[in-house]
Amino acid sequence: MEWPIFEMPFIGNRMLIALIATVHICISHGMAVGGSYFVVSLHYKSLREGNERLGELAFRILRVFFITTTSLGALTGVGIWLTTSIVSSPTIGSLLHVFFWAWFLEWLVFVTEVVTILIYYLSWNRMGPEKSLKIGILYVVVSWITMMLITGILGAMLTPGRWIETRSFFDGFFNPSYLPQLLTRTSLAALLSIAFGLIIVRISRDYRDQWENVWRFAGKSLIVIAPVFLFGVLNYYHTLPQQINHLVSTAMMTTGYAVYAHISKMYYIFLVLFLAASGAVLVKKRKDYLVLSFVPVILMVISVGQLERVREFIRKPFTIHQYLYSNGIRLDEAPFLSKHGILNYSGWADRRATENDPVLRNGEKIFKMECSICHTYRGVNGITKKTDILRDREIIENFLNTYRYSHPFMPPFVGTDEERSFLAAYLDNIVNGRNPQDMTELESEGEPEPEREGAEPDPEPEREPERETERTPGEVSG
Amino acid sequence: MDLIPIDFPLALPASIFFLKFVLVSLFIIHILLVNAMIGGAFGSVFLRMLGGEDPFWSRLARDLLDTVTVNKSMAVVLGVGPLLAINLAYTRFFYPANNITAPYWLSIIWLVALAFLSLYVYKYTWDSQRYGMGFKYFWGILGCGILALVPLIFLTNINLMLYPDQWKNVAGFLDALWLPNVLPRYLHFMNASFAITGFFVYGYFHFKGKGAGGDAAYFSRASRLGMKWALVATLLQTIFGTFNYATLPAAADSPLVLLLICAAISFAGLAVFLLLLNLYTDKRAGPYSIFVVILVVVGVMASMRHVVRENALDIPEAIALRKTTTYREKLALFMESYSPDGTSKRTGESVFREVCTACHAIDKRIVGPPMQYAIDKYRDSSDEMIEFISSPRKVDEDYPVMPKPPVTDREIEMVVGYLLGLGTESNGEE
Repeated sequence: MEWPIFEMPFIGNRMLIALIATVHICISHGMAVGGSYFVVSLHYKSLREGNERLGELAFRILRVFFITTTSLGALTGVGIWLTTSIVSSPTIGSLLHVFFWAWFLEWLVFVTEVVTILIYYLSWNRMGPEKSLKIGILYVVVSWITMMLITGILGAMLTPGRWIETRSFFDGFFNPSYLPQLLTRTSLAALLSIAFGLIIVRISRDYRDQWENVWRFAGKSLIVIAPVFLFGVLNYYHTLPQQINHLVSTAMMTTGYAVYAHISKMYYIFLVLFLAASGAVLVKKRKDYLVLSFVPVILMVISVGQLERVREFIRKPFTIHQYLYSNGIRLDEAPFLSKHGILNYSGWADRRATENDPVLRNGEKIFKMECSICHTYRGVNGITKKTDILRDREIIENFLNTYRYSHPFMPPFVGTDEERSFLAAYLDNIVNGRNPQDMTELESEGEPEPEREGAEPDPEPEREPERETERTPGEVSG
Repeated sequence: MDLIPIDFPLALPASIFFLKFVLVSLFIIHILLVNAMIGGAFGSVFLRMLGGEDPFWSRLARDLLDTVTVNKSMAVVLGVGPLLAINLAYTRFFYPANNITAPYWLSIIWLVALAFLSLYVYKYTWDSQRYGMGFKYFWGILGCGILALVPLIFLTNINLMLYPDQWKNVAGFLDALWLPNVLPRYLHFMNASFAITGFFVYGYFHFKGKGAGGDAAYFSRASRLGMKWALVATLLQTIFGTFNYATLPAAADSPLVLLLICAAISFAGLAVFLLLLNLYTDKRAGPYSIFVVILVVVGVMASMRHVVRENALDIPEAIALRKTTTYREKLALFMESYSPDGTSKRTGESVFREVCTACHAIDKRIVGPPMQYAIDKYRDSSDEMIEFISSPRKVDEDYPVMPKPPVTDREIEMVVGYLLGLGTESNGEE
């Protein structure tokens, strides 16, 4: 409790993470894990066929991959740590308590990975080709193991499975979405590397004589791997917990995402068909069409962004499922905070607060503690744009009372009744420009306000535990 | 001090001593690589510039740049281990400091990536005829400039972490930069980079030169240069080190700190002596003895930094522990008397308020239509209303489709009963 608050202006916290994560995934999957496979395959092919030119071309691809992974790739990897721990200290702090050893192990493998790529790349021309190839194969294996380890940790955040009860490392690591995710990521890595490889080869005009060779290899790989990817993705969608599936449908309807879930699946089907077709063209025609060199990478990057976005979205309202809400409040401490007041723990929010009016300042602090993790003011998911839902003070209060049912993907409001009215006053002020003083007259006219509070004392998280059981099976499939 | 966060209710994955040991020992390796990276990058640019026509200098500069490629990658990857450890061992102090310096702290990612890319451009255009020297130096200097800036951001942040009493007064990075000890420490660090690079150059060319045959002259000249470099920078540390210690806040100081500093100085003195022996007499101190001595110096310095950290955080740790304990006791007390309400108490009215009022009011339009409209429409056909709520569909062009509400069949009946009941009541009143 009472961890620092970070607000990324305009693009919002989650977009900030998404940007860094997408860059990192494209590079780490496409150029390290997949890249090692692509380069080493070409390397092997060149030795088997005794084709030195192809070997040189493979080295050129390796150089691009090496430069990018050891700069942007490595730094965005560290960057995910720095960024997520600033955006949500409780999430990263808690996860580290549980998964330290997995991360530590991953780090050791990661060190090995960096050492092998350094040796592989820097001694390409000094080492004998056979020996060099062996290092390359080691690089493929080691870089895949880093992915194998990190997938367990990321999956645990999304689908902790039995970890919730047992808190055991193995239950968290080998969580329900582990295998589908691993399959998805592995095939994604291979596809991305082919897409990147096609561009690099296309640009290397001095190696035209080798193009046909590469097209055939890339084409065959596409035909084989694309369906595996589709199988992985669909499985992944399928294994997301029922509860989350349910949320997706409700949440999507209210926020216009309904279409998105379907489009997302359709997109993958289209992508895979496109990749397989490209593969067929490359194999059959053995010709380069500009489209086939550049479009796959664009489509793949979009698909990475989508996977991240869907992941980010279905996790709501938690960052650690059924344990920690995305705003850093734990499920188990929420009732306590609703009873005793969250403003008792608002030191960091106060640091950032700018309002002078005491009511507005309190509301602002609550907004920063509970809402600002997802809502900017005027930018992405901007709160001041929600004029429909937050039309006037009464409607806002109502909304804060009830949105955990209508908007279950948002963490429930945590705080006392008084604190809720502070937040309502603040929202009314920033959305509709009304001052809290204007409300006093209105309140004295319409009686329902105190009546409702009497009828439902301290309502907030008390219903949380029942939410599961309230649902009928029919709704779950959503 | 009241900004220190309350700790997580999760056990540490390893003993705190182990984590701190991991932090200090791994950090030593990381920082040595960082030192050699910074010094190597500077050397590769400035030796080439100053060397003029002499091929020795351009070759040395080129060789140094090759070591940067390896050192920088290892520096980054070996920094992650200590980062994990500091995340866990000093969570409550590290995260707040990061938060306060956030924009600058996060910029490290892109700055370092840019520095590495610049140095790659510098490296891979080295022999190119297509680009002029101005172009090449631009990238080299850009890379070095960034590499010189990043430690400043890092040290500012790490220093801020140690003084939670300052968190309230410090608005951001630029304030934190002027806290005592930051700039002296930075100068101390940068000079150490040149010293360590000197030792590195000495060792690297010494071992590379073995069995180099005709090239032996180049390697011995280069390794001798490294020794001189190390010698001058180590001697300069007496000035920067004094400056650093003099500005250390009292809370962080203790007799042990001074003792460790004296030990480090003694060993550094020994290193200087061995270097002088090597450079200016016939006697030879092998590189191994010099490296052992310098590693001892670095180890003692790192331990000293750790003692400083522990001293500074002594009182804040106690406060943090008290805050956490108090919070957990309050929470436990509350949970004893707390039991979540059952759903049985729900009525048509409460379900309506909880589920429907986000979009519907009785007599006005919010997101959906006013309920009076539905009451009038379904007054005599409650089944149809139940059916509609169970599976909503598009009815009116003016409104979005209603999402399927998260309620049971029984609850739908209750809501419909409640709403249509309202209708008859108000009719009756009229």
